[in-house]
Amino acid sequence: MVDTAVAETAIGREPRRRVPRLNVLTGVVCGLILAGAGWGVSSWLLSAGDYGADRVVSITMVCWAVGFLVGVGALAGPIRWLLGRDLSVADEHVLAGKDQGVGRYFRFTTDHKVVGVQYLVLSMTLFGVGGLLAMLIRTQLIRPGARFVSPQTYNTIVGMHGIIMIIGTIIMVSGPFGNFILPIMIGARDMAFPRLNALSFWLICAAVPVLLATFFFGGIPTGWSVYAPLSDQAPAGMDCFLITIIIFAISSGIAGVNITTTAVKMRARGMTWTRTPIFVFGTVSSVALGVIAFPMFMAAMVLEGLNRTTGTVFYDAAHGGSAWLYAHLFWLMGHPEVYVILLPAFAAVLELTPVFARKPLFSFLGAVTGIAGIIGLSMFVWAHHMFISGWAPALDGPFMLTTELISIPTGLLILVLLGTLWRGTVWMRLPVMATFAMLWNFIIGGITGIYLSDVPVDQAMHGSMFVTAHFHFTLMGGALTGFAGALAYWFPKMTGRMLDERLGMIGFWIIQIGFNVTFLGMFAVGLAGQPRRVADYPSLFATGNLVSSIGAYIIGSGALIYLYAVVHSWRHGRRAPGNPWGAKTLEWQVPTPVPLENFTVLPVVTSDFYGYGEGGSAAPTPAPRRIAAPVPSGAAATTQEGGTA
Amino acid sequence: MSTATVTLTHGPEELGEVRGRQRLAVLLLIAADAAFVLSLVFTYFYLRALDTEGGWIPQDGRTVGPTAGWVIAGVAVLSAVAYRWGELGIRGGRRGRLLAGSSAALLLVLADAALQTIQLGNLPMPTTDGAYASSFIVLAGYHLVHLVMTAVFGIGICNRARLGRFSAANHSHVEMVGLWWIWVAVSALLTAFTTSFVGT
Repeated sequence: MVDTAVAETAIGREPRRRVPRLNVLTGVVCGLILAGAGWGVSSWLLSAGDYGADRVVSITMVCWAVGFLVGVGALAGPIRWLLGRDLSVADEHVLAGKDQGVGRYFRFTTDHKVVGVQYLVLSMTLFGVGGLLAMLIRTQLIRPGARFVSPQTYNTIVGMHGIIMIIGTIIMVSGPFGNFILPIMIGARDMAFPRLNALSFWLICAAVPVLLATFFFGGIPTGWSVYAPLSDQAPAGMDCFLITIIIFAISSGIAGVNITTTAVKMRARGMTWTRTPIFVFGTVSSVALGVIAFPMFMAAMVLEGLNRTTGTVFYDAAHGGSAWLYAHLFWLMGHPEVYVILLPAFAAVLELTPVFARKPLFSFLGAVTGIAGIIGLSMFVWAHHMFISGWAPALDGPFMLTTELISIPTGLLILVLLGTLWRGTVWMRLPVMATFAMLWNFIIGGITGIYLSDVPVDQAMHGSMFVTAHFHFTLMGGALTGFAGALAYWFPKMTGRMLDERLGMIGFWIIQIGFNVTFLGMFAVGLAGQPRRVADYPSLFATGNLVSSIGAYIIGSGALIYLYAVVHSWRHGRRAPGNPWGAKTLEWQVPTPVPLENFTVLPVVTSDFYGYGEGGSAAPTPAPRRIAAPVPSGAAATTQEGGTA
Repeated sequence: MSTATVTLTHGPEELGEVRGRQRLAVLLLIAADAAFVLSLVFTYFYLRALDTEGGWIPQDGRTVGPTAGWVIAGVAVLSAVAYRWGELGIRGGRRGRLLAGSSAALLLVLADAALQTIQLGNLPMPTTDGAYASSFIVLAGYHLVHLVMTAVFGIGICNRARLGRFSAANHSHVEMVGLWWIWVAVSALLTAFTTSFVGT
């Protein structure tokens, strides 16, 4: 048991000063020392034979991760539990980063708000690296016959771009906002298991250098899906990739358990499920789905790792294995993972839209049903990725049907958004721009997904740029846009500053224009037959690729502007009032900056949070036209600031 | 606005609340682990059913008999029973019984780990010889991982029981580790059952 009950702590002991001294620097030093030791010992004992290099690389990377976690203090809690030396309340406060200034962001800090900010910075860093790789891809594809990078390097760049963006998008909403906002939103003082919370973050920090080390060990020339048996033949960079995914799966599992438990067990008094904000539903259903889905991905990677280091034959058809096995295990996670990414972002947009439309969420029950329908069906669609693999052709029809069916609950969410906007007096601020952009992008992504779910279309389009454009419209156009909206919405609460609206708007819409230019162009070349993951193409596809590359540079420019707006506002932005949007959910009723324990008195919820325009008036309440904090409609609220909002 | 406030003193949380959270979290962790174990079971049966190129059984036909797997599972079940006996003891406030039960369970788990290691070290076929060998080794190997994790938890519980950290009113960690212990026993039975199906 990693997290101990408060009731079993020894009260009144002096704070231990050993733990706070540990930080990311001691983690790196400890990780490097242990990695060096692992490399030395494994080179001495295990480097001979066919699997020697893979064994040495794998052991070195595992040693790095363990050393880093020890060095950063992540394992102090479990070790103390084993020894029976529980933390005192004072120790817990030290671990939570009380009175430790900026340094707490570089330590194993248990305060959920610190972890949320750590996740935010990490996910934006990952987007920076992944985006840079995307620019390299589009530069290579700017004209036929370009030799910007070698084909082998290009393949690795494509794979690394894919996995970095996948990890970044999985954590981008449930990490920052699921940690910072969700506990306050449900009226809790912290997450259910604060140390597990910090552990899930630092595990990813341990994994990221392992992933980047892939470049130094020959890369992953297989794409991020690392299909077997290609992955069996890949250089040692593949071992780094496998270790990364295993660590990330453990991290996601821990985070999923923590967030689910927090939301299920720690909601404020009176917060029944029908009064629980929709963002909580979206985040919890996403992470709970991940708890089941990621272990299957992990299993696929463990088996591949065993193939590479011990000579097992799971995916080797010549010795009784099967590449289909890998495809099943991978896509059993791979398709639910799309919804793991999408649902929290969609739910964030569902959360913020009523605030700016000044109307109740249109059909709360419809939204919950949509989320539940997506979760339920997502586990039964995986084989549409295997239509042309030759596996069970008789099942193509049923899987086509389930894939088409999932468009119904997804469409329900779109209808809820449209219904919420319909006849609303929309307050046109930066966060709600994400609603409009997401509607446009996601409808295109969704409809092209329905095309691709049809077996005949899929047989023509599989592995083409059309597929690449489709999933970018859902994951980037839908989910990443939702993240941008969520960031703009919760930025004042997380940083205490207002996000620069003008720069933010400019950056946001440049990204959207660039995005549509890039991927509509990609649809065109995909329809014409250009395969994905190939470093060169015939001149037939030249115009479409040039358009896509120009669009990509426009995205890059917009992203830099948006990033500048975020960083500059974080440091120098106008100080934010406690509730700049006049929102009704609990996180806006606490002061900014949020106190260490969130609430001095715990709230009791007496109705849902979407009563905009209610409270005696059937008409929507007009939103204020200025930046000044609007007055929420409905009954007066006693806030944590002691006043009446 | 839709909320009211209520004044509560902020002290240690109630044991019942903490226990409820821990229980849900452990069950979710078990669900995640079960998804992993079932992936390995699926791997075993899937490759056995495919028998690609007749490559399921090793070329010389050597396989592992089912008896050892059931013995290993039996020891895992016995350890879970011993632990449960200790856990029921602390519910009645008998710390000595908890210490005895958890110590016996720990010893049984260590013995089981030794048996599993011996089995893996004396397999009649190498890892490279057919999908059966690969599938068997990964299932048995993961059971060994389970046993090591359980042993670590068991050491913690024994040590804390020795230090008198548990009482009739406050033993949620004993209960949570007990849930895990039961799952490990169930997983051992599942492994033994799966590996009993050898031929295609």
